Amino acid sequence: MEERLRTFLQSQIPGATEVAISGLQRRPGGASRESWAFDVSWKEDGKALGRQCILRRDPPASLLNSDKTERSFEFRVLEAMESRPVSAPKAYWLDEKGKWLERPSLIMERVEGQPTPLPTYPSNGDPVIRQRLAPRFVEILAHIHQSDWNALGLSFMGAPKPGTAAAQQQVALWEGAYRNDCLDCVPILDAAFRWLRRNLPATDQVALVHGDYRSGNYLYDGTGRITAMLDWELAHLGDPMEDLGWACMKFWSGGGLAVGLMPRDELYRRYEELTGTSVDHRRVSFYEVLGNVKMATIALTGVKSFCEGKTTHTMLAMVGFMVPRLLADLVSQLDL
Amino acid sequence: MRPHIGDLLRGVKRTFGEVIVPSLTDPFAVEQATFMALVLEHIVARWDQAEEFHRVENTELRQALSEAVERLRSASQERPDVRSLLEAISRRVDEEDAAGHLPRTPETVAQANVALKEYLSKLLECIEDGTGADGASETRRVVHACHAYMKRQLEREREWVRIGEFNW
Repeated sequence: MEERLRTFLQSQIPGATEVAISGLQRRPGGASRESWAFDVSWKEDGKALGRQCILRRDPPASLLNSDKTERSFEFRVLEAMESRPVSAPKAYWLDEKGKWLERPSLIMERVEGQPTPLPTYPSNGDPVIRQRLAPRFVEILAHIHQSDWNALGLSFMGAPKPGTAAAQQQVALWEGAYRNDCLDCVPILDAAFRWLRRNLPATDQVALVHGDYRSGNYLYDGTGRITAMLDWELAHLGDPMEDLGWACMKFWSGGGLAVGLMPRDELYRRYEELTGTSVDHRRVSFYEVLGNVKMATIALTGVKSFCEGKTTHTMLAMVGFMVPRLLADLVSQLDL
Repeated sequence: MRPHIGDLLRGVKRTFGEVIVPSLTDPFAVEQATFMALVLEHIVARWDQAEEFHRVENTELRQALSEAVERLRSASQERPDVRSLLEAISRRVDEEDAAGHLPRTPETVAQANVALKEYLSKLLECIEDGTGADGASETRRVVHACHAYMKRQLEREREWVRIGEFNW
């Protein structure tokens, strides 16, 4: 891997000499993408240069299928976010087809900070840190949703038309994944998809949606400052209420707080203050149901990869054990 | 004969946790080992209950589907799609009743359950809009019975994953 990386980066920095890779190490986490940390140094016009990097590479199989989360999409979103105050890591280099690094990969800035160990801020975590994280968490979301995606060159992602298209596209995406990429039949999920198809909410708001906006996907430092918002692989153009629904899911509501950070009311209030947009409770509820369905589908996709021997990531064996909890939330939401 | 499977699994789990895991230094390997320890914990607790787990699901599925066929047979006269689905379900349940007396591996039963669950979902999709005014109350009863099965099964599955549960 080290030599592949060196050769790739040599090709990407034409004037560079003495390109050297150090400290290459695969990082824990990252069930959907392999994550490798490394430093690169080189000389250019007699100057010594270097960068601290993260390589995100498609695994042979994962929680998410690559065709839904192309590296090039993620790379272009990261590039676009550089001009926005959303703490996204800088995008450095892209091996779109995996010509150099075996599988599609992107290399981005390695930002200092730690993630929450779970997808929620722990209920026994430092309350002072929580109080600092919460407002910034909402502020970044507001900045993402207020991005002029057209001006940022993100219209290639495909904007849904006004009406129910945004919701319909997401339901179709995840129902397709469930039908094609899961080994089991789950009648509760089938019922949930039928409910979603019958209850598509309409909106004329189209925004850049992060797609996985929750604790566990940001880094923060010892003072409670969010240093980076990560995992943009599910970003798309859609209904901004989708990110709110995802963040409000019971599945990661630590101690009854949305993503372990703040009560739902506070999240709504801060969001409305920052965006000037009223939170549509009905749409948020719809996207909470979709969120449970999406998370269950992601887990079941991972289980299939494991059962078919397409991955050695043992976590994918265990994610299926999360599904009953998600289904219990669906039973309650749909009043089955 | 000893050691039997439970002895072996417990022994491997012990060695893994007390020898292998502490010797690892690479963070990614440590993470993988942690997941493997969870897998082993689950297998040690559940390996000898798997057959019963799938068999109970199989029995309940056959009961729920048989009841649906009985209740909806007359009500579905105006709905050829429902009628043909009920016939297919009836045949599948009969096959499963016959196979139920034969020795089968847990995986075989689980696979059969997938087919039965697909029929259950198809049936619900078909009848949720009703089977006609005459059959409205029977349809409601069937939907209710199917949902009751789904919730019982969910409770069993929640209990099943309690050991080795992965809290992401």
